[in-house]
Amino acid sequence: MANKKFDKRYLFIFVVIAIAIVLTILAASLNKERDLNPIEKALKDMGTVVIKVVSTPFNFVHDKIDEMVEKNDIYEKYKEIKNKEEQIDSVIAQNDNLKDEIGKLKETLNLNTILSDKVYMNATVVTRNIDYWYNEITIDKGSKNGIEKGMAVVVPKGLIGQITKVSNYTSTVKLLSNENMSDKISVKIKVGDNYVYGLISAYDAKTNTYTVEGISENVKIEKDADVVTTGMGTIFPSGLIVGKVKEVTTDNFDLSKVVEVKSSVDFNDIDYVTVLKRKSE
Amino acid sequence: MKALIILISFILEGVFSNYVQTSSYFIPLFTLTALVIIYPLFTEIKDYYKYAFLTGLAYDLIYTDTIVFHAIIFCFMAYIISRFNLVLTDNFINILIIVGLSIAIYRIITYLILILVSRLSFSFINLIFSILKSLILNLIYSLILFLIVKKSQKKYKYKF
Repeated sequence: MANKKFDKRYLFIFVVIAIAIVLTILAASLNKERDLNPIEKALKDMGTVVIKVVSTPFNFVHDKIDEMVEKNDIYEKYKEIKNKEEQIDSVIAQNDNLKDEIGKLKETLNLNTILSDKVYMNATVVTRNIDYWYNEITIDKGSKNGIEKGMAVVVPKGLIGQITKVSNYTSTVKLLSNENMSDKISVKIKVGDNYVYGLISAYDAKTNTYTVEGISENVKIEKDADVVTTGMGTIFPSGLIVGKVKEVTTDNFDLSKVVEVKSSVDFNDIDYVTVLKRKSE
Repeated sequence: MKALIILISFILEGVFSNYVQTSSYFIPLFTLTALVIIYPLFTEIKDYYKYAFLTGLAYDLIYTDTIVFHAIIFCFMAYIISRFNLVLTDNFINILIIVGLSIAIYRIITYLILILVSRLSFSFINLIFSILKSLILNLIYSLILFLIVKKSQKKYKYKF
């Protein structure tokens, strides 16, 4: 009987300490700077391989269904592409010309790299968003394929996120659709022939828009202007498209403009991604 | 059999998450559902806690990159499921009720803890929607799993 009382009295203290330890471990493990330890890396690689193998038949069916859906409006697509094809030759010529010019300018200025130089790597999404709160996807390339923490991840339509954790053969991408963005991303908005600079500070999942802050009051920003990354601060390359301007308002103190930017990416439908690295010397 | 159900649900959850959209009303939580379904198959409650802990650990390592967080949450859920089973007997309407309540409790607990470590900001609507969005698919899955388990129990007179 005495023994039982002793247990109960200390149970409360024990529970409190246990909760404190769990919260500390959780806070530490959610830290973005944390590297995965070797055991975690090995187990994660193994698990991902299993999931990849199991999902192969599902993927096959999914692709077939997509194919069927696409076949329906194939004629309209063909007409659209034919229109674009006529313009493409002149665009290629222009592009070559610009590349050549940049090369020459780099030589004269003695620059080795510029902010828009980048290295590409393609990857497939293995699992995504397994828990509702995390807003992350896992891709099938890791440190053995040359992926490093902090690289930008894009889809053809625009920027989607940043690599946060890397194991040997897989890595985790934190999507920009995360509601609390701990990293502010530097972007520029096209105004006429110039750009104004700002920072992405929040994302609203309901309307699929970002909030860009830090823009001075006396510029006139038009609707549907392009918003691209600047390549400053983070190791994102410059010129990655983020979205288009949707609405311009002023902040509470009338000191600066706050711009709502409609994201160009649909975060719900991501199958294949490209990992970009800014080229450095 | 128990391990097989957990393993299949665990992998299916990963596979399924590729095809459903975050904003849709079909968010898989098959691992938790499987934990509810297999509870009546255990004779020793200690074994059940062991299963829950190991499943949670795997969940941490492979899906969420956290350390022992889900292992502890799943153990807690195992405790709650065992409490529910004292009140509600093992038939399919009761199983649906238990699955629904477990999902709600799981969502609320993880949300509160993630707010405590300042990973998320509080939004009541988000919490309610996250529970609603994960209910439909998991209730259907639990029903299918429950029928399969009952059928195979009857057919093979199998001692699980």
